[in-house]
Amino acid sequence: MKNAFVSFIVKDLRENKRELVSLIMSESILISLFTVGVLGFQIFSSKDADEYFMREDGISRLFISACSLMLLCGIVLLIATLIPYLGKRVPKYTFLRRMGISVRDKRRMIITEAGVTYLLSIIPGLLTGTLFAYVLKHVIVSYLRIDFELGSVSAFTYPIICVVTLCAYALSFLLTGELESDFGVISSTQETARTERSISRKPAAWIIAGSILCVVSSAAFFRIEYHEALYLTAIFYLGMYLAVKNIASVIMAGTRKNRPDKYYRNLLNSNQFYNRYQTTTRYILALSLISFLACFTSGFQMIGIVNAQNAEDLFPYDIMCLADENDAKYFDGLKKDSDIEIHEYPMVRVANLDKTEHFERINEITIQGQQIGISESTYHELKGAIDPSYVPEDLGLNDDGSNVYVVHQQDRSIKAQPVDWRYNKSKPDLHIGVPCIRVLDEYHGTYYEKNIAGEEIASITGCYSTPKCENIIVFSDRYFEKAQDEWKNVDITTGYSVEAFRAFMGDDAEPLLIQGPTRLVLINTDPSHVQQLDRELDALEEEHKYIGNLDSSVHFHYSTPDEIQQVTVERAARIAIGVCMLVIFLIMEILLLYSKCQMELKEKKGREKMLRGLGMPLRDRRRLLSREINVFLVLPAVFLIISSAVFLTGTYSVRMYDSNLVIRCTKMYAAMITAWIAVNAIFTWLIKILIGKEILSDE
Amino acid sequence: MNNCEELVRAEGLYRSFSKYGNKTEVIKGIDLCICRNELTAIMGRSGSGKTTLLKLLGLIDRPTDGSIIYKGENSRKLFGDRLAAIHRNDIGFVYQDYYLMDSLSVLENIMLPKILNHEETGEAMKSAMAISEKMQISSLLDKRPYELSGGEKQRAAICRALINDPELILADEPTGNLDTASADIVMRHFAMIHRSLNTTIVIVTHDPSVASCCERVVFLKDGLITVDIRNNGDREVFFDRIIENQKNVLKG
Repeated sequence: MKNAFVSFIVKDLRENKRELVSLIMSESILISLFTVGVLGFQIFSSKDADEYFMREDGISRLFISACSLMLLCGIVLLIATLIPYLGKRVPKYTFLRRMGISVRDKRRMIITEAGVTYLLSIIPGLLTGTLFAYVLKHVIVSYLRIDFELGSVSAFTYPIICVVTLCAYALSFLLTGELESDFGVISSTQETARTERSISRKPAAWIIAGSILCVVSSAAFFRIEYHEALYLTAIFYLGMYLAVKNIASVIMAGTRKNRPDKYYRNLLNSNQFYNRYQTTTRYILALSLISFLACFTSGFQMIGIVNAQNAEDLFPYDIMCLADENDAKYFDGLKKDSDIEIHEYPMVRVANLDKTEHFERINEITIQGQQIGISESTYHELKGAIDPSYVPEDLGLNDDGSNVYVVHQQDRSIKAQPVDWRYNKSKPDLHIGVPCIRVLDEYHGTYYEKNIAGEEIASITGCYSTPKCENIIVFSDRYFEKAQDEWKNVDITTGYSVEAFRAFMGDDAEPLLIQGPTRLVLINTDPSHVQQLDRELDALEEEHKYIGNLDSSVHFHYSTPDEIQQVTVERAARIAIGVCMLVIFLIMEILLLYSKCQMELKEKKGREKMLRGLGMPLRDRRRLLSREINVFLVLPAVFLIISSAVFLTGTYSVRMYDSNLVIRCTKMYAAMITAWIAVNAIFTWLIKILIGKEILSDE
Repeated sequence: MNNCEELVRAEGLYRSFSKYGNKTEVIKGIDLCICRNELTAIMGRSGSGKTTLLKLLGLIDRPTDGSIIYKGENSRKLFGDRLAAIHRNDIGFVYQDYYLMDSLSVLENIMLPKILNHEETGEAMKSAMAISEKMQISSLLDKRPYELSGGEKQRAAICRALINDPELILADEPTGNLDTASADIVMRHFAMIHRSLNTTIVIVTHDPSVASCCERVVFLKDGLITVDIRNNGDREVFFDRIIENQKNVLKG
């Protein structure tokens, strides 16, 4: 009996070979891409793994974000495959239950099925993932000419991947169960068509609401304080979905009512819109969104990197130091060395209220950003030092310091970032001096809202640390003179002015006053000297950790060779992640379309028999099927082009790209979109052939 | 029989199906001639090959061996647009499973043959409404098939089969799901179009009372025709003969 039951399980699995294969493939893809992510993390972020782990920036964070997104996409992919798969399996189990199968035997069947699919997917997944990771590493290392030692893969990597992906598989299964109980997604594959309203109750309201969402989100994307936020693209898509869907439904209703000739002529061609409007539009939305995420979010980031400045060009100097008054003797000593070229400029530390992208929890300390404050004269000197043809222009700064000019010192391939991240304000809250330990009360404190008179993205001292720190804040010369003494008026523990502090704590209380860095020191020398200086300055690092300096990414000195390596590796990691994301999005798109076609197979087979019997020629039936599937290629492509036009323009604007760069990037992006649509068209054609073979009957 | 103007003829008809290497012969050598303006019933046990024979006569299926001659033409030479045109205009098929499209309203389902023929919408609608009136389903035209009972679906499917006034109607258990009154309506309508439009009708049925309305009854057993009887005028006598032959076929 045992053998008979086992052979029954085996025969049962064999009978659903095709669905089993697609499930195994989905799992393999998930495992493969997760493997690439984890291996990439280990290979590219060995230097940063401990130091910058869980920081908002840095390679490790990139990979963590990417792996999380890949896992999420993988789970969505698995759910999309599980729905038609379970649509075939659940009735079988229901039937067995009615036949009286014991709970134990049913469990054995399910565990065997789940186990077999998982085991058959783990090895190809790990193998292809490892192969892909090493090919990607080889390509990136060759392309970026990385000549330093990369990390290696640890022994625990593969068991951890197996465990994590098994959990993802289990989670997908559970979520599919939830979807079934809430929406009947599995049982509906067995039912005939539900009635879906093709016209909502108040289409005009939805059209207006959708249009507003599109306009507001795209307008916000053009503002640097929204830092090219992904949620704006989601809002745009939601708006587009609401507006276009309701406009189309009004047109469709009008056609049906006022133009019956046209309606009946296209009765079968338009049937999936009139009959299944909600489902059809949701699939179009999903496919459009996936295309956009692939091309714009992942693909354009790679285009940005390809067109970015050389890493060396981001650092005009070999070393940058933020020195204070105690360092005068040391740097005076260095000036005597003829091999070392030193430039010193007066500076103040400028802290912005919020450096982090996320919203802080109630008791969470907000990490403040630290920028370099200089005078307008110093700005012109620095610009002239790197560009002899530079002609100084008035920056529009005022003597009371309410206007500032900002130089975002960042790689052009990185998303545009505001100086201050507090509540997406267009006016940053800045404080002259080192960050205060606690900002108890903004209204009595010393963080003041500033107007940004102008800004640029450039590297005039070097793109050190992260894009959120060590940017340049330019004050008027008159205000800079006052700012240099500002530290004497601020208690660092509370952020209060000294008067407010004494009023709060009592006249006897002593405020903690810290001056912070006062000199911007820029050094050029030969490479051997750089290493030696680096070591010497490293030894001084501890002395320059001021109270309130909560950010480990901000240092006393920065060495260009290290930073070049950091930038190079980060770019490599972003390309690796971008490629993986492109692949996973492509696979998601194809499998989503394929699983939709599979879900409708039974209904379409019935329709085929009927239409054939009614005398519809094979040619027309084939064309009908083809048109139904083509809708899911053409419309997402159209929405991709429209949304790309909007958001590309926004990106160029906030990243302040010049016209040459805009043209170059646009050409590459157009080529990428074309390739994306072409690849999708090929797979759509293949799906049409596969589905056509199952549905269409010859005469 | 001497005045028989042949519409469709089966000669040495065989039809077998293969699955997982097992071959099942359903029709095992049938010779059958359906004359124009004939009202014929096909009877037999489940699995005797009635539906398969009907599909072969309706050119929906192809024989494994033998031939189907439709209006003098071998069905092997009929394919593509020519065959599709025959299905649209000359043959009306009423399926056992109705094959109505749930995504279209009842009216649209009935109009579908006219739509496939690219006929004018207004005329198509008029024809659909007229025929639905006769089948007493005009109040259901805005509904979807999944909202109808089995009998209502059957009548909608019959309306669709009749809308183009085909010269041959093939009906697979058209009254199978109908109550007596509805079955009566359907059979009276078949009889009316048979008389007035000279339509040739072939019906597969288990019901002797339905079969007794026909002029000819063919009995199938194990893929072969065993008995072929004709109505000599007296319906009651014909009914008794049908019952007798049915018993004989069942007894084997």
